[in-house]
Amino acid sequence: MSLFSTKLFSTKGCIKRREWWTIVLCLLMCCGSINIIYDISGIDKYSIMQLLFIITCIIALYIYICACVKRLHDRDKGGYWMFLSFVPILRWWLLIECGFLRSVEESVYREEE
Amino acid sequence: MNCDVAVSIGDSIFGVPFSEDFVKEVKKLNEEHSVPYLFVQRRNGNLMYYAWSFYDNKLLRNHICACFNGVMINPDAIIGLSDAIYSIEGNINSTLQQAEELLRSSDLVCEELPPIDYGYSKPDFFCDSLGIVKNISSYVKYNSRIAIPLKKPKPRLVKEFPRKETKKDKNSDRFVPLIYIGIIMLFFLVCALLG
Repeated sequence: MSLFSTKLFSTKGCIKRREWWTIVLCLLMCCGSINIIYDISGIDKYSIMQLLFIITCIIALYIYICACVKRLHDRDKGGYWMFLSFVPILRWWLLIECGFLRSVEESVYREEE
Repeated sequence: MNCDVAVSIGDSIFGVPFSEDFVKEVKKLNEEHSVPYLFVQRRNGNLMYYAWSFYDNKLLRNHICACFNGVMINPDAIIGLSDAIYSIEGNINSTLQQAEELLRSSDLVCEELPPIDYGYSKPDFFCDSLGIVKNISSYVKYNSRIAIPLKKPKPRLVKEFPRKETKKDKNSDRFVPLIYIGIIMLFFLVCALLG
């Protein structure tokens, strides 16, 4: 449980590119699978299943944002850079920051080992 | 030359050097006449290398005590002696005689004390962060401190400054996910309301 709280649901500290990609791909697979199930089973609108689906999406989004914030920390940037994703063109820069650029050597967010 | 005095003069350990010849003479005197030690300050020469050499030979340890046959000499008197002696441009014997005369004729002896043994080979002030003390007043200060108490100097207290707060400490990013999700939900809500 502590692993989840510290690794997935926390914005403290930093993560490397590999961890970020692992989290993102896992989330994509989970959300994709749920979406397929949702499509195939033909869930009615305003049903409990749809509510569960929405809750799952929110949790997945939360985990994704936490991962991005930690990855930005690894780049010695604040978590508020995350709001760049609301800007149409600049959101691609966020993807490059999180997914492709290396960790900086000294980040103020990095916790001592 | 007959000499039964051990004279320690000057601030040689704090950067004022001895010449090589002088050191040899002192060693010779030390061996031949059982003089415990003899340091007479000279203000020319190279480095304080010899002072450290003497330290290795256990001679410098008592240099700071400024003993005169086991009698403590007022540190202020050391400076007086030093000033008197390095004005003499003579050989080592005349310097020694002058020193001896000066010691015997003056009231330099302040009180009788046993020779100081600090019990540790390297007194702290040698490696003090101040480095080499170059002026006489510092020397007096140091020697006064050293000669009067027989206690080991207290360790210096290092003042601890509060650590500068970093971005990490603030952890202001705690609410980023909530704000982000809140914005998205607000967007969907507005869309739903607008139809």
